[in-house]
Amino acid sequence: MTDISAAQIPAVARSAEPQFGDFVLLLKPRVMSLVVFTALAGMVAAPGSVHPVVAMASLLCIACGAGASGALNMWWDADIDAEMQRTRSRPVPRGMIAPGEALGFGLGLSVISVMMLAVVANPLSAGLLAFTIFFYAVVYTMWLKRSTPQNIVIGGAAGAFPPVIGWAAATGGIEPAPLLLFLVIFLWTPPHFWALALFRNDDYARAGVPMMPVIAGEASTRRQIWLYALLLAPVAIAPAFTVAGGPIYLAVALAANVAFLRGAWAVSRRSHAAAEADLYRAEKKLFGVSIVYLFVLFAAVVADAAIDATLGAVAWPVWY
Amino acid sequence: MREDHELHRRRRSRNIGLLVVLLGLVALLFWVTIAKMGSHAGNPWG
Repeated sequence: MTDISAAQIPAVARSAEPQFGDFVLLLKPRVMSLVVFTALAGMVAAPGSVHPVVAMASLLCIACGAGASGALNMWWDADIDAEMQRTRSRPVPRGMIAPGEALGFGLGLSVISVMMLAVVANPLSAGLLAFTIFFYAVVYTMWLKRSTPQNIVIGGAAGAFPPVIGWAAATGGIEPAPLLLFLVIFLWTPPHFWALALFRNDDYARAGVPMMPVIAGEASTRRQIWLYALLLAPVAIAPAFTVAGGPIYLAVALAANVAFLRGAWAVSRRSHAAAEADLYRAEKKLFGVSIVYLFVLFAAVVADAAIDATLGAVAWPVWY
Repeated sequence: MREDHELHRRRRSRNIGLLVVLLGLVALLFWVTIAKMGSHAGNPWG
């Protein structure tokens, strides 16, 4: 899967020396920032306190683990990354880093991050991190991505683990609250990626990646975006009544879900012709809204935890 | 020999980056050790 023909790699790039920044790009820094943020939310929402140095070191290990899985993804997917406009400037298809280097870097960083998390935090969080790397690199990247339109539905679990890992790093256990946060990201992933896939359909089709719009068509994808948004709304509100939530989370979750449902409804009602006419404006808007949606939900988790820590626990119904 | 110099120049940013990462790792391990000792076996620094 990583055999890139010489024609796909620019001649100038092949002779270039990889710079430090190229290895940073191999870690998918934007995905990594989301992983760190959701893991931080899981960590601060957990009952009890963690030493700030231990918390920082744990987050660093989780970030490195996420980065390692990103490097392994870029190693395996170098051939299709070279085909797609969105990914062709990545370090491996650009020829800045050899596929073997990306593989070695990803594997090395995986082992180090998991072992370090076991030492710094506990074996449970390290085991979860190892499983997440395996799930993203092997189950999603090597197996699902090229074989089924349900690739990002099942593969979304990999991106949903960080708050559970953060919680486990802080407490040494798992409770319903982090599992609900897991479900929020899990159900958020399909409408988020399918909104992107709708306006990047040609890219995915050219690369032969069986994304939902490529296989099932636009109309079916639009319906499914709406269905997942409907499923997501109650699940995203539920953490308000756990130890991870509170009044701020409830207010933010209600507002965010209204915005997300409106965006998903608008996308679901559109035809291909209407989307082509305005260059997929509603789909691009939904994609942007989905990013803000996840950010504000987890920021609200952090805000409620900060209020609890500074003002003491507020009177609030905690159901589980 | 000129090619060696060119190679060193091109690798400089990567080597400096790696140095910073390794120094950061040493500092982090030191502080984690201190924090762990403080919470599990009495804080020898306090």
